[in-house]
This record gives sequence, structure tokens and C-alpha cells, in this order.
Amino acid sequence: MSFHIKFFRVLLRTQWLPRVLMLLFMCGWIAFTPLSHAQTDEEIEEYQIKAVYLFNFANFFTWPSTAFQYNAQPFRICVLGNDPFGIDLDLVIEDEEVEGREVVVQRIPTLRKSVRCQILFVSQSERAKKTTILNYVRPYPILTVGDMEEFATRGGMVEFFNSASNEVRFSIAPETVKKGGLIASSNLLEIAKIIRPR
Amino acid sequence: MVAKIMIKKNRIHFLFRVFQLAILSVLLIIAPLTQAAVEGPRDKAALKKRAALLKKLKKLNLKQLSTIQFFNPEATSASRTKRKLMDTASALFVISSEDIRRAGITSIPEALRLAPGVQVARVYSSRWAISARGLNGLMSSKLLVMIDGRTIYSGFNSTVYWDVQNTLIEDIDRIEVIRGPGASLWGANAVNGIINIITKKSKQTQGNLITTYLGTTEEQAVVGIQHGGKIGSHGHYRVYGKFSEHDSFVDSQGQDANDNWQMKRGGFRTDLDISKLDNVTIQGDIYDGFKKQTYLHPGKIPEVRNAHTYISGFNLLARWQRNLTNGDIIMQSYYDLTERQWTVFQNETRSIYDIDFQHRWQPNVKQEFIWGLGFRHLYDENKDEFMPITRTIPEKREDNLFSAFVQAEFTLLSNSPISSKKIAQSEEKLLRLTLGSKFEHNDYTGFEYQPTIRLLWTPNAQHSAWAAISRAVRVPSRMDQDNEFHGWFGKDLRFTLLGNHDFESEIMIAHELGYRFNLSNRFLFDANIFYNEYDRARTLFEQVDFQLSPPPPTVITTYGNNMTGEVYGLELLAQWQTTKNWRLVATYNYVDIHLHHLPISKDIGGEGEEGDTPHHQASLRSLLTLPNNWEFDTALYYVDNLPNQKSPNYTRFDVRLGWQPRKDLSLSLGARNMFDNQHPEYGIGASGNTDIPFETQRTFYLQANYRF
Repeated sequence: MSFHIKFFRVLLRTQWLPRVLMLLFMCGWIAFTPLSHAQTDEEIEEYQIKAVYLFNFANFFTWPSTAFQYNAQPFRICVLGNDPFGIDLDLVIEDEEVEGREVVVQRIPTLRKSVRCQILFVSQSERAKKTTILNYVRPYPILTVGDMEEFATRGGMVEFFNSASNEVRFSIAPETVKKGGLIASSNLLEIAKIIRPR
Repeated sequence: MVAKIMIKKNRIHFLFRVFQLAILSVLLIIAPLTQAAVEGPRDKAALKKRAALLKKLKKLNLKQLSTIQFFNPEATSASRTKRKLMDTASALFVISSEDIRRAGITSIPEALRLAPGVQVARVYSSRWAISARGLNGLMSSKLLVMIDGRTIYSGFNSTVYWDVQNTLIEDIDRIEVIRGPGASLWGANAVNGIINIITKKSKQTQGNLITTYLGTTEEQAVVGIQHGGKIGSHGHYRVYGKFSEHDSFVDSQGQDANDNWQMKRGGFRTDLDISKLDNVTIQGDIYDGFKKQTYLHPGKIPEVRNAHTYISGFNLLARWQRNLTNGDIIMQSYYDLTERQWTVFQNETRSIYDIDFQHRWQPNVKQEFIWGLGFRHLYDENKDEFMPITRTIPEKREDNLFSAFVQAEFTLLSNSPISSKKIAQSEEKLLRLTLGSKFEHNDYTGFEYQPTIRLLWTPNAQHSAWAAISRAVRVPSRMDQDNEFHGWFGKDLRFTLLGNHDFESEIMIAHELGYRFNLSNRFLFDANIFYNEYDRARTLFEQVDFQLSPPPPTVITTYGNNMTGEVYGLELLAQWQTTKNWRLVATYNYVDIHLHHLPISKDIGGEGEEGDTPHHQASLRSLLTLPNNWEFDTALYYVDNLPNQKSPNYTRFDVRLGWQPRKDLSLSLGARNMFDNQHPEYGIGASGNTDIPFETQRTFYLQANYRF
């Protein structure tokens, strides 16, 4: 039997003190592993991809002029419900402009505040209130985006879904987009899965 | 009396453990605090890198963006709710459908070889000995196995009849394997591990599928056919049928072991969205088949060859899930009936009716509660036919099991990625505490409690560490209390093994530590160490009497709770996506078992079970995707020897070549066990075994799947 196994056995045979020491050792080991060491640029998370999509949509849809009340009004991307993006969405829109407008991200606590948004991302946490939300924003030129199941079939415009191999894809309901007064670019419609609302 | 003392001793032991954990918790809290103090707000360099990565992603066009893969296998069984692997405070491993397909595996028990820390030994053609974290054997009884939430371990002896646990292998979405106890949520028998087999939703299996498998040696032919369709606009269904024909293993001389078997099965699954918030799943299976066995008795009973066992059964399950604003409700009920008509042993019929309710409530980001209630009715009937080897008294028995569980999870510490008000909502959970317990009342031992305390620490997206202490019990089964078995120890000594009405639950206190390191979506490392203490462990042959007449001399024995034990081990897993087309998976585990008879024990041989589990197991798999839809996969499995079964170590090497010439057709050609002609995996027929284990051979196979 090799040395490390013997060591391990001795450690376990004796009473609680060695076990505590072992745990302490583990803690120390992990606690002082440098952060930067672990962070690599290969790391891609689901919501990082979604954040980039969300920003890209700003350029692939056209909003009617009524969407903006004044010239300097920023282009608002809003998140309703628990924010799954964290800092990533803020990093994506940093220093960006859409048609000469500054892009801002707003986490909105109530539905009432959504009417000033251009893009409204409805978080999974709002699953139960999906219909209420979509009915509420229907009269406004707001691009509704969600990643819950049946978002687009139930009156949402863009729905993210994940492929079997963990890629982020999206479907679009063109009829809903049209009714909202928005225009989707043909490039976008080419890649998207087209869905008809029920 | 003895039992009482033992219970008291155990209680003190448990209190001691709680105290111990309190100290550990404090230590775990201090460690990250020191780190937080040193670093202050999140590292600026890390943030810069994040921004750089996002910048790269922004440069891609939409088409390219849709081909970027993200990484994170999800699992439901670890905490009965969905959670990412890095956030799971238990030793979880997920066997994906892709893993199964590319390992060229066609049955559920064989698929479990892919998980680290699981012992899989194929005893003969239709029988497997499977356990996690040791104590494997023909009677290994401490595993909870479920298919889509339906418990499938046998109420007779707490083992799993793997021969009837099957479905179309293509329909398996994933197999979640948790080593260690999960009793606080799942209840009795979730002692050494939980295996949760999850089939695909019927939405994922639309269209038609014909699958065929042809092979040499044991697995001769498998034919499956499936149709999936829509029910109205809100529902999907599938129906399948499967036939499998298995040939015999061979003995060490290459002679046919006469243990061939055949199974026919069919089933369906429907998933309906009855409203915006409610989903209903109804599924069921029906099966019928036979298996053959050879019994070589060391004693005076003549050997039995070609002994047929007819097996049949069906099950039906309904599940209703309602999504609430802050959680969900799941109501599930099933009925399972299974029958075995043995020629040698008694005929058994057993059924389970089960109903479960579960409510998950997440009032805010920092807290989550799950609680549930369950009721199970077990019925069985055991009739001996003509061979007086075994009988069960009473022949029929009905048992009721009531259970309740509650689990709470609290975020003790959290940190924001940067100190900014606007992202306060998205703060990361740094330290999470899970407290829970299952309370059960069963007709064998009465009230049982099974608590757990778990601490998960996720300092950042790359590292996570967890520690847990849990108590789990294996409640007695029918065999432990009511069965009578006649056998032979060698040629001239008979034994009668009687059930013991005073048999109590076996208890385990588990201590676990885990660490995961997710370098990027390309590299995952998972390490676990555990230390399990068993109390009142089952001894199989407690001697109670010795009779000289009538000859031959007979030892009367019974089951006892007269062993204690410690099992400890180490489990390692590394998954490495070296390039987009090449994935490597390596596992290693070490287990050491120490069993001790209590001074009062008169058991013959119980400590020998130590030697039924391999000390070392290792595997290395390579999954290589080649151009033009070719795949080349290899797998190497090493299993250490089993001293108690006198079976040598073995190395198994599998190769598979896959090709998908058209979108609707996939072919594979493969070989298993390339290195040797044949080897035993469990036992060489040690005396006293009524089942003689045989050997598995080198196999070549061809597989074709056609979808239309």
C-alpha cells in the first residue's frame, strides 16, 4: 500500500481533531488559490451569450419614431424580474450607441416602468406572470424577449431556447413583432426559427 | 436490551457529530471571510477579462453566435430541483445520453460503469451486483434506484433486479448518479447512493425510430421501434416496443453457462400542458420475459441447469406539476407490479402503490424551502412451488410507509460582482447552508429520521467546495425478517437461514467533502473524499443452533445487526475537452472497507464482505469526432481484484466506430473487452454460493438507428 493511502487511513482512524485539520487544510487550499489563476477567456456562460444577443437585437430591429419621446432619450434595455445577466449585460453595452442614442440597462422592479423600454427581457422568475406582462406591454413598441418555454407562442416576440448541444438559439414570432409596430431585419428572420402565436 | 443500548450509543454519537459539524461550519465561514477581507471588491483584472470575452462575442455575427457552446450540466435529483453542477453540495455525476451512445452501451446497469465511485460487476448474463461507495455484492442493499421518480429496488431484499429495468436506451435523457446518502430528501435506502434514470420528454422523441443491435456472444439482438406524435396543440406522446435476446455467459472452461435470457417490453409516455401553469405526465411500461440460470450446489441437492425464471410486470405513473410564482408543486403517484416465477426459488408477486406530494417555495433569492409528504403501500405474495429451498412466512404481507421531509437552504454570505447598486439583485451566493431531514414511519421498525447538513461554498465561478454530514438508514426488507433459506456450507454441512423479526435498520453516518474546479467550459475536475460509519450493519449468518439429527448436521442461523464498519474512499473525475472534436474523461476511485463484528456476534464470515468491493477502479474514455460524421471512441476500464470472491482484477477495453451517413441514419461498429477472451467480474463460484458466477467474453457488435 502506497504512502498516501496509509496517511489517509491514519488521518481517518484517529478521532475528530485530524478531520478538522484536514478540512482546515482543504479550506486553506481553496481560499488562497489565486482568482486570476482560474479565470480564463475560454469560459462562456449561457447568459453571456444571451446578453450579446440582446444587444445585437437593437441593431436588427427597427423601432417606430414614436418609441422615443425626445432626441437625447437613451436606448433602454430592461430586465424584468430576477436578473440572470449580472454584470455581463452592463459590460456588453458599455460605450455602445444605437442610432446615435446611448444604450442603458435598467432593472425594473415593476411592470409599470416597462413602457419606456425599447427591449424588455422577461426573466424566468416571471414565468407565472407571463401573460399579464405581455398583455400589458402589447400597445407599446417594445421588443419582448424571454427564455421561458412558450414565450413566443404566448405573445412574446423573441424566445431564446437552448439546442441539445448547449448553444443558444432563438425563435421569432413575426406577427407579434409586426403588431408591436417593429420591423425585424430579413437577416434576422433567416436565422431565427419562425413561430406563430397561438 | 442490546438494541436499546446501541440506539442510545448512536444518539450520543449523532449529537457528537452535530457538535463536530458546528465547529466545521465556523471554520468554513472564517475561511472565505479572510479572502473577502484580503481582496475587497471583486478583482478588477477578472472583470477586464470578462469584458474582453464579451467583446469577442460581440464581434461574431448572429450565425456564429448561435454556434457558441456554453457549459454546465444540470441535475434534478441532487436537490429535487434543478441546479447547476457547480452549485450542488453532493457527489453528483451526470451520465448523458451522448455518453451512453458513444460508449456503445445498450443497457442501464452497464451504463453505470461510466460514473466514478460506482461498483458494477456482472455476475452472470442477467445479473449484476451494483453499489456505490463500497459494500457491493449479490445482496448489496443500500442503493436507491429510480426511473422517472419511480422506485425500483425490490421490497424483498432491497436489491435491484436489473434484468427488468430497461427502456429504449435512446430514450434515456440522462442518468444522475449521486454517491453518498440522499436520504433526507429521498428516504429509506438512499444510503450509499442514488441513481435517478430520467427519460426524455415525449416532445424530444417525436417521429419514428427503428433501432437494431446485433452482436456476438452475450448480447445477440436488440430491436426497438418507437413512434412519437402530438396530442392536440398542447401535448406530445410516444409509444415504444423493444425486444432483446441475450445469450449465455461461459464458465472458465469456455462451456456454455445456460443463463441466456429474453425480454419483451413496451411502453408509452405522454406529456400534456393542460394550462399555462400545469404540466401532466402519464407514462407506463409493460414487460415479459424469461431468464435461465444454473445452480450448482455444493451439498446434496442435485445441480439445476436450465432453470427458467419467468418475469413479467407493469407500471403506471402520473405526475402533475404546477408552477407557482415562487416555486412549484409536484404531485406524483404510481403503481408498479412485478412477478417472478422461479423454478428453484419461490414465486413472488409484489406491488407498490405510491403517492407523493412536494412543494418548493422560494420566498426570495436567499432562501429556499422544499417539503413533502408521501405514502407507500407495499404488497407481496411468496409461494414456494416444488423445491424446498426457501419460503417466506407469512406468505402474504402488506406494509404501509408514511413519510415527510423538509429541507431549507439559506444563503449565509453573498457578494456582489462589483459594488454597484444597479446589480444588487444579481449578487452571487457565496456560502450556502442546507438543512433537512426525512421522517418516516414503516411497519418494520417504526419511526426513522434521516437528517443532513450541507455547506456549499462557491467563491467564484471556477471553484466550489462542499461538506456534508448525513444520517441514513436501510430499513429491513421482507427477506431480513420473514425469509427462510436452506443451503449448504460445503458438502456435509447444511444451513438453515431464518429471518429475524428483531432485525433493525442499518444505520450510516456519512461525512463527505467535495471540491469542483471548472477551469473553463473545457475542463472540469471533481474530487470527493468520504468517511462512512455503519452501525447495526447486517450480519448474514448469526448462528443460533446446531442440529446433528436428522443428518446431515445443520447450522441454524439468522440475520443480525451485529456489525459496525467504516468505509472511506476517494473519488476523482476529470473531463477535458481538448479540442472541439476530442473529449477525454478520466475517473479514479479508491475504497477501503473495514467491518467489525460486535463481541456478541456469532456470525460466520460477515467481515469477508470487505473483500467483495474492489479497492481501485479507474477508467479513461476518449471521444473523438472525425470529419464527415465519423466518430471514434475508446474506453478503458480497470477494476481491482475481489479477494473474497477470488476474482482477479481485469482491464476492459472497448472501441467504437460510429458513422452517420445521412441525417436519418446512424451506424456503429464496435468491440467490447478487446484485451482478453473472457474474464469473470464477480466470483469464481466460491462454495456456499448457490449462484455460480460466469465469465463475460469479447464481443463485436453492429448497431443501426433509423429515424423517419
